[in-house]
Amino acid sequence: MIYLRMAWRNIWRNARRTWITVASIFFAVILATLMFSLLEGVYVNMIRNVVSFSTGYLQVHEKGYWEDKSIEHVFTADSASARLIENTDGITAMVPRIENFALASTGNQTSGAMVLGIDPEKENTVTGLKSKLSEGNYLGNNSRGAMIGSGLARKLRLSVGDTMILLSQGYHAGSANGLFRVDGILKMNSPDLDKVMVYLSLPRASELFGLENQYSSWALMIRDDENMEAVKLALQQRIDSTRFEVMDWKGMMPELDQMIEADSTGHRITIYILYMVISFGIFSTILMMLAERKHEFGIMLAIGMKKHQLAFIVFLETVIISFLGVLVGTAGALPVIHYLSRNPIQLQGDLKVAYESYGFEPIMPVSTAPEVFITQSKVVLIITMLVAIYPIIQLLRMRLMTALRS
Amino acid sequence: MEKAVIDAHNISKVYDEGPVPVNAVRDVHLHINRGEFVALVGPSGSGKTTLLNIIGGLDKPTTGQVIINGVNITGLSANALIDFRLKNIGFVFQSFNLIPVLTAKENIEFIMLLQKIPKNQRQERVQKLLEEVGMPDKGDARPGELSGGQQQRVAVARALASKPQFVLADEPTANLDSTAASNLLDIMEKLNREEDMTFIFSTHDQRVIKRARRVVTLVDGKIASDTKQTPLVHDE
Repeated sequence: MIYLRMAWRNIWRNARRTWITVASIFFAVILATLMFSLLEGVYVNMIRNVVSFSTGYLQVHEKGYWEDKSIEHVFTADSASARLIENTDGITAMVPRIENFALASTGNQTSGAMVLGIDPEKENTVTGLKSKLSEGNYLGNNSRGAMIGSGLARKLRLSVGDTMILLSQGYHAGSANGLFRVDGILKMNSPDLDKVMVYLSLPRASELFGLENQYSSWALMIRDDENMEAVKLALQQRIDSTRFEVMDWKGMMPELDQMIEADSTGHRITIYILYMVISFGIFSTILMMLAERKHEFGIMLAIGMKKHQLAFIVFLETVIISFLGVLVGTAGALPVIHYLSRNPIQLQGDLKVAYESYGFEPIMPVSTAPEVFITQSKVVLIITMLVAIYPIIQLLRMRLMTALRS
Repeated sequence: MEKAVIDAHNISKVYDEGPVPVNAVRDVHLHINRGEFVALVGPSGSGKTTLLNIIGGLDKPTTGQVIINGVNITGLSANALIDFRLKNIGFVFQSFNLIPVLTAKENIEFIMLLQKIPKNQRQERVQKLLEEVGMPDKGDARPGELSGGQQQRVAVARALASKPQFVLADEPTANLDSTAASNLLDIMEKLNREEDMTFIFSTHDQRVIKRARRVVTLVDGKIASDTKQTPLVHDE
């Protein structure tokens, strides 16, 4: 207890210097936390944005489907397989989808479309699709109409209640065409998807493509995306691997994964530079503290204190200063992150165009996950302990008479 | 003959750090008995502080040995020496003696904390020592709030906290005015008289030399004289 008391009082002997050190840690923690939070938020959002509306985090489909994505590679959905997949630990939802390309046409306007046959209720629980509805009604399980992206609606000059023709190739090379009333218009996050998506109910999609209880894929959502690899492995062991294939989003969209990896590397270098700034700040403070108290250390050693006890006090001082910095830094970052979580940064100009071209929502959301704060605090505290090593070695090597004479 | 508390044999100290080696102490033999009140005197550079540091185990002699109560402290390891000092020797330095972040009470108690003495015993002894040095109501003051004389009195109390065999004081009155120096000497004399505590000072302050009962004079690192004297009684 006496050591803690001495350490606490020592750091306030030169309050201005302590506050300057705390302030440097404060700003570094705020910046690092914000950057980390933005990175996490942006990437998680990117993945969720694209993955949930397209492939799912994991997908089970017929072997060979992914190579040509043909309607010929649909599988018959038997309830035993469905139960097996749905009951795999870590899976939170499983949505059946029928997926095919089509031409959407109205009057003399034609556009390429991605037709997705969905179970509207299940799909909504997984993707929150209903919240994207900007006009009209959300599909029922047996609806005969369609919901389309607002980009496609603009292109085809369609409004709710209008009709469009979908023209495609059906199962076993059958002709697939039909007339569909536009029941609802969706404002999709991803501008790319907004320009192509057409949603049909599963029965209506089956009817269009000539399918009978057959799906293109089961898109799977998982509880923890950090755990995706383990869930994928478990699934691979459970399903009939001669018939089915399990793929994760990284395999299905490698360009997204690579883009995130490349982007995050640059940001991480910036964070490392920030960490270095903190390290040097703390390092110089400890060195100054040692230099100006050398005589005092000599007295303490002379009257019977051991060097390791002195070193422990100096270590405590370092930890207290860092802890203060981390504490006020985190306290400072919290309201900023809270504000940004409610009001994400809206990207403008070239950056907006770039995000949209990748199919991402042009915003920068932040992550409020506790790990963001905990990681920064841990890193700064570990840095502190590391930078305290050299001064403590100096202290342990200090010669009593030299200290007393200083 | 009285049993020696300190027995320094053939002590020499050469500082070999500069271009020319400096013989700070040369072939010194010194015996100090329990209850003595000794002043090591001499001009600046005569080696009195060096000898005091060697006797106190703060510095190692180049040759010779210091035996304290039968223990050859020159052969002890660094940690063993720290333990020895903690249990046997009290120190009073010239200035900046106290730990600035601790109160007077805490400074005195600190030594006992290092010795792992129970809290109630520590507190009792701290109060007693504060009373002995005439500062019963200054226990909560930090060193910066005390005068130089008061700080030295707290330093004496701290030196006595571990009930040492003897107290080494390096120019304890150097930065004190006459009144403060006289008060400090009164306290040390009283402790010497009443508790048979051995005091060894290095000093060139006539006020201290006049009050010592034995004066050891060093010149160029050698003992030039070692005389017993009747101390001048302080005129209260």
